[in-house]
Amino acid sequence: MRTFPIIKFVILFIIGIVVQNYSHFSFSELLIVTSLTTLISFLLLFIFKDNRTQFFTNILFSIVVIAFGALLFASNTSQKKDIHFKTDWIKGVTITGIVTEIELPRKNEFRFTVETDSFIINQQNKQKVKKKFLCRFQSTDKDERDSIYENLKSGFEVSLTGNFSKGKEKRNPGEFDYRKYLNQNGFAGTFNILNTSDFIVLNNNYNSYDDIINSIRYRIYLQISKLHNEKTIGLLKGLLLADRNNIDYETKTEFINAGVIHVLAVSGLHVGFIAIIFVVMFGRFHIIIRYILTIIGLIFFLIITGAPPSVFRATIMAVLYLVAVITNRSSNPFNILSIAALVLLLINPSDLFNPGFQLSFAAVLSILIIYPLINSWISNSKLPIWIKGLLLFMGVSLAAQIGTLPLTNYYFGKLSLIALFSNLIVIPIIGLLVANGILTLILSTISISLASIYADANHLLSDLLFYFVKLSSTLPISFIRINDFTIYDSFVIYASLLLSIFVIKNFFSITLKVVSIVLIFFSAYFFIRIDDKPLLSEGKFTVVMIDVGQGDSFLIKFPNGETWLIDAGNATKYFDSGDRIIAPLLNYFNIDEIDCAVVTHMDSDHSGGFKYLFDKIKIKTLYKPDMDSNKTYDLKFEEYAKSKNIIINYYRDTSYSIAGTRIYFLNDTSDDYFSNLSENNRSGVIKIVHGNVSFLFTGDAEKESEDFLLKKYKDFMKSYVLKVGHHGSTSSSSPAFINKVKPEISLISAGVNNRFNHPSSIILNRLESVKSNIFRTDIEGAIILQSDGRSVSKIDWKN
Amino acid sequence: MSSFVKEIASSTLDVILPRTCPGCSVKLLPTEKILCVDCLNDLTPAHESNITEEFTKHFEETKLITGLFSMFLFEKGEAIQKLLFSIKYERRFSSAFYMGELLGEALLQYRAEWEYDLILPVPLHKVRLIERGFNQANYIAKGISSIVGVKSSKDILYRKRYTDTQTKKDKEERKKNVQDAFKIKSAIEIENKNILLVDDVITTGSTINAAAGVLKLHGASSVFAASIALA
Repeated sequence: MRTFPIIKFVILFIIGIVVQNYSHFSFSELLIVTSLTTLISFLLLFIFKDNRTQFFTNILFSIVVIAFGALLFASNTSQKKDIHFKTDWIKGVTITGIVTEIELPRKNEFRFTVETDSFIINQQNKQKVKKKFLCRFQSTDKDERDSIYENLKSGFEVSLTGNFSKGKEKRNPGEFDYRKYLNQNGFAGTFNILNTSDFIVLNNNYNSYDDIINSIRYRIYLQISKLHNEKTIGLLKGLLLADRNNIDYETKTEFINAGVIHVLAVSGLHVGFIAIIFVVMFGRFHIIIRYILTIIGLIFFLIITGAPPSVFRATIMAVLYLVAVITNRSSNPFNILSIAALVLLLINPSDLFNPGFQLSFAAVLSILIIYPLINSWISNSKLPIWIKGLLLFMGVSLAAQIGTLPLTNYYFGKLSLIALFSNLIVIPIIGLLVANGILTLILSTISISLASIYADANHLLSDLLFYFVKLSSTLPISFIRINDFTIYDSFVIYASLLLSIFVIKNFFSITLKVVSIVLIFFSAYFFIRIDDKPLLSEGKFTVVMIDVGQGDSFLIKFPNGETWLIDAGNATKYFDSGDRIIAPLLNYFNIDEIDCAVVTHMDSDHSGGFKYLFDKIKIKTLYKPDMDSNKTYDLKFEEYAKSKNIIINYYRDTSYSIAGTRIYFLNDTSDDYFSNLSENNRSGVIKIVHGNVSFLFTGDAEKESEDFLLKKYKDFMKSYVLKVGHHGSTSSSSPAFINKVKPEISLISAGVNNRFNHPSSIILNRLESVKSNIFRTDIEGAIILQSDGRSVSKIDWKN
Repeated sequence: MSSFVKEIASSTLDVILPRTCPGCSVKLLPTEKILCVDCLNDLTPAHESNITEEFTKHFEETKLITGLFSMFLFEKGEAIQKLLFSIKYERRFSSAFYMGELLGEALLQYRAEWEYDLILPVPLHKVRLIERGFNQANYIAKGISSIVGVKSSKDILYRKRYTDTQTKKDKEERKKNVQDAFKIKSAIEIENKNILLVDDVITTGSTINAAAGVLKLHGASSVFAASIALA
């Protein structure tokens, strides 16, 4: 530490950032603390030149650095406040501002960043808004997109008309919080532009440095696209330009499951490959010239990848290492890692909370700490040399995985068990792809036909890679799911790891080592369990009102673990609730089988999401209204369900029991009045009784149906929890019905700012008049209610 | 002015990338070059008796080299091993050059009678050269050359066969390992020349004997051998 002051500095600096993240001191407070402590420590240093006050000056200097870290972080985050608009999205907005960054084009759009100075809603009401927006140009005409893209330069002043959105919040358990993601990256929201006419360049001054980088990136991208097929383009664009937007979500999930997602993020691994390629390429030169050329090459690679944290980290480390070698200085890896961290954090202190930053540094740090232990075990063993080599290679992978485990658990919610083996194959393939990819690009400047031969090798390699990753991600033992893994849990794991390393290094007896480590992880397990709160407890009756926007969907888990799904939200060309919301939610809850699906009625906002679920999830039985043979949609729906071997039942006035609960279907199809009602009114009405509490689901049933139910079932309609009919519309929930049901809790599923104005204030007042607690998806997102048979409690899933 | 800038640059570099002693990892003082004073004083000099003993053991019989010189005794776990390791594995090639300078001065002092007109480093195989990035013996040779004023060349003698590392082998294995390992690129350059062969460590002499044998075969009139350390 004495020899390497930077290590100490970085640790204190990071402490400063973390403290500020939780304490939120004001900028001026921190400024005062920083300048005062600096002043005092210098005074002390000058007044007492001997060592008497060294202890105090050391402490003071530490405070200076901590305060400095906090100060820098405070000044960095103070500009990034959410935009203050009441609504989450606004149509027909015109913004003017400067284009600051331009991404490479994607399949159906291209994206760029605009720092605005004005914000005009509906050509009036001009506001001064100094914010960063993520703009997306989405014209359906590819030629139009390309022509705008090729003429756009960073630095242009533009006027854009389109739709503003704050970004989708986390509204269901396990969902990605896009709004938080945008805010963390400094964006106030997204801005979608659909037509070329909405894109006006006001001033075409541009930043020539950015322009050069952008055009190099674009040209490399075009060259890659010219020579390769779709999948390989996505891969090479990711590997060489650090832009993995052309790799689809499903493929990324496969990479996560196989534990090799890190190869898709350009990281130290790639920088290492690039460095090796350069060192070998310049092998003829004198060592100093060779290293200087390599440094230049690495910096070029850094610039064209747009310098994401992991590449920046690895490049700084490689360059410092080479500088240390050239100047005959210490190449202590911990010191070099600290300098890399310091540079990154000085430029952007919020990087500390960037998953890429954390994973990158955690991986290197754990390789530095854990790998030497593994290395010494393997080297001292009496195995054949090739097995040793193989084990050493796996050892690096294992070390990195141990160190990043708490982070991958936290961010991906999965623990890949196959990673150790899949990396063994995947890493060499990636190395070959990077090398051959660069070679292909260089050759393509000379001869396209020659380059296309090399491109074929890339196709082969990428096919091999995708095939292997798919294979290893689908093995039953490839990964396990880890839910509610918190930051606190990560700390517990890291503390246990450090303790174990201490034990391994300092204890001599093997038994003592083993016993201590078992004890450490045993207690870690307890500490991790402390804050666990399973959202779907065993032995209880749980209802999840899933936020599918404007529509209905309820997941029910019975005390015996049986699962039902009542309705599945809407599916349009642009958004399929089954695909985007329900399947990920089921996945998050580790549910791969639904015992019974219930379609209350065939309206698309209730039945739409089912088609996707039929494909992806095993559904045993299905309840639905009698088929209306006049409707092709209904016909096709049933045919599709039958083709998936789902048993179809129609609503009848029946009841049966599941694990201490009783389920009543209240639709009396034998009744003439009832069977002639409208489709909404013939919605499946289901009452579930669990001990003293009961839940009533009414789909979109309206007054007419409610009248019928009241007449037929009378006091039986009284329920503890009511799913309010038809999203809280005035067509349902008549005063008589509400007074009879008298729900303690009312659930309303409606989209945020939906165009039907659901739920109606009249219905809300009516519910309040019977003192019902109202929970709405448009306000809170998903709602989870849990019953133990005596009472119902609401589970807070957000924290 | 430029010296001032240089000083600022080097003192800044001292903070972020300090110069450390390979022997004890402590930060070096500006006056210390490669090792700190303590580690430098800890190095055990090779006395004439050690050198003679080594010579009789490994070189007398083969009669391939005329003279032997070494500065230090190689000791496991001590500063000398750490220094040589840092040269090889931390790629501190400037340390090799500096040690070469020391060796050159020692040669002038203790082997003034040696007359040689070419310095040749013991070569590395190409694969190992790529892996390590440089040949430490070459930098030692360059260091000697800068002091004694005799030309050194890395291109005349080369390794044609990839040999395993010698580190964990006994004498017989070592000998077998390096037999026929060396070749000469152009014999004219060594014909009737007196050659100083340079390596970092001399252990069993197998490498030196093999290299000297090839040199002699191609017409070198005499071969001397020098190294940083004797093991």
